[in-house]
Amino acid sequence: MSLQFTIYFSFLLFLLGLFGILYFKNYMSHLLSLQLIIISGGINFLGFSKFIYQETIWDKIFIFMGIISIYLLIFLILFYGYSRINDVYKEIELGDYRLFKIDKSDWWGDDCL
Amino acid sequence: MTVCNMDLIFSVDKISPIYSVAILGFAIFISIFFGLSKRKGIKIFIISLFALSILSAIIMNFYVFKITVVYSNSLFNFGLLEMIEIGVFLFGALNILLFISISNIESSHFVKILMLFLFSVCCIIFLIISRNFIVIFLSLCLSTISVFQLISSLNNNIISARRYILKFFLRSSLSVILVFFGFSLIYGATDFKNFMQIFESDAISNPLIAAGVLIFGIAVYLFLFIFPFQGPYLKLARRCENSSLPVIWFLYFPIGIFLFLKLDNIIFYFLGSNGSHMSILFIILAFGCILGGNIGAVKTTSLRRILSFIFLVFIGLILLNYAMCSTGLIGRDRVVWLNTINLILLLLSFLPIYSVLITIEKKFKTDSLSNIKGFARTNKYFGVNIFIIILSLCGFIGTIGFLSRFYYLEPFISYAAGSKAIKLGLANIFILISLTVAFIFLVVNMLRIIILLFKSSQGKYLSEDKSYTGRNESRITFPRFYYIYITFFTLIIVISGIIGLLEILNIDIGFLNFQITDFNLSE
Repeated sequence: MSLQFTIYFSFLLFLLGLFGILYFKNYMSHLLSLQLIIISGGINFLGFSKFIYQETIWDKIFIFMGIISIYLLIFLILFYGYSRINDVYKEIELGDYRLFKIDKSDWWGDDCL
Repeated sequence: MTVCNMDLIFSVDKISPIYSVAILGFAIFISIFFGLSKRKGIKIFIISLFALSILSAIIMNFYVFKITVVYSNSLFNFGLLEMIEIGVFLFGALNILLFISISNIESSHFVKILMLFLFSVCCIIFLIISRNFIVIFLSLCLSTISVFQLISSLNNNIISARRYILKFFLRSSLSVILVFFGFSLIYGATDFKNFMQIFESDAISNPLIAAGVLIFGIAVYLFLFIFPFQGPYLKLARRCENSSLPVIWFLYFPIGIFLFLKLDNIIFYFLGSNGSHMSILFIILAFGCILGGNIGAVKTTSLRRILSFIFLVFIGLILLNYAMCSTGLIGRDRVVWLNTINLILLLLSFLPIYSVLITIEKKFKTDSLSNIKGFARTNKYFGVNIFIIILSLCGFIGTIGFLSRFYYLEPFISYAAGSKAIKLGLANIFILISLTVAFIFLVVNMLRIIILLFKSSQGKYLSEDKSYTGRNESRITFPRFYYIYITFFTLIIVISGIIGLLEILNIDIGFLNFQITDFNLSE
């Protein structure tokens, strides 16, 4: 394993994550795509740490703290979506959750309430 | 003994900007004991406690700056800019506390909602003063989490808002994750732990730094819902309960703006080294945001959407500041000043206008523009105050809005007067067009509101009992507090506008020992 391989692999995961976010409508697919980008970032940190900085402690702290806080955020969003406390879970599987969908009503005129 | 203890607490070598957060933390700690209480007396006590703690944090912020001037260690950095940012942000937080209290005091979760709110405030203060990458990232992530919790708690009973809360914060999560990815790329270029070290080293020319900063830029762009990706923000703005919109404007958006300001040094470096490309990029983004926001505001009849679009226009103006700096129209200090004054202008204008609008909305049950028809005739005092505040947003002379407009147009005015300091190239012509579009459309939008405010309310209107009446029954009885609130804002707008105008005219009245139209960060 070399630095080049880890960078290519991490970049591939990042592109897969990006593709998932841009392509899929589904809520769960988006969350999975976000995971790929997180893993890609984590691989970057670990790869650079191993091959360039001879395993420093700083990146481990960053990954540990960063991933805990990111997963807390994602868990909250997942919980909010699937919780039976509100009605969102009923439509979450079928709803269009594309992050970059642009409606006419986002800009031109009003949207229907 | 007490004096001795106070000396110990405020000894010069121990004081730090964390004290502001400590005060807020202490207020949260006290409120923990009342978290489950539903008694109104307790709720009022908690509101007073939180308001006092925020006021104390504002005073402590100024005090820390006065004592230390510049505080810096491996994790935090606190100077003039941070002091101003925290001061402005806490002032906004104090007002949000008021909005949340008015709208949710009957809620059984009221104390818990307020605790979440103060948690968000603490996290954002940490973000402002953070220096180390770990602290920046953690405070960004925790701020987003706490604002998400706050907004979802506030909209617990609004079914139509839930789907858009999810969409809104799904996008925010993507931004946070992109920031994480950006940090991982920067780590590949250098093991420095803060942006200042990178800026001062040779590592800044490393392509991985450029890639990391590009990812950061995209993250901030998505985080702020800048045109054309404003959909979830506008849909949520239309559906959320009354106090959520100020939370989005003055708790959520500042997170993105402060994160963007963290990159100042690096952005200015890239603006200097790739001048034309970066200028074009910033001009296109700013122009799109300004034009899209303004046309969106013109096309809608929803008051909430109008204000939300105008907020986007101001974010576009922040982008334009950097474009103006890259073409040499304004200096670095002026960019920071314009960013700050835009945020202050938004705070001073949006809060009083929105406080009146939500009261009108409560009466008519919709946020339609037609609700304000004839409002200034039936509620003269509020009408006049809103008129002055709107004039300020338009940039009328003698108001705080004029100061912002003047410094945007000053380089072009001096060019027209024959100054050779700037060249009017293609980029500067585009900047001038963007500014003209921004200010003309803003005036058009505001005129639309002013005309309706003063228009005769004769016509066919739907009354509260769903029958048509011959006049708009918009005589609304406001609590006495609202009179004080709106007068306070109007006075600040006018007084600061007049002081600024006197400074521009070089008339020294010796009223303040600092200039409000300029601050030098290098001091």
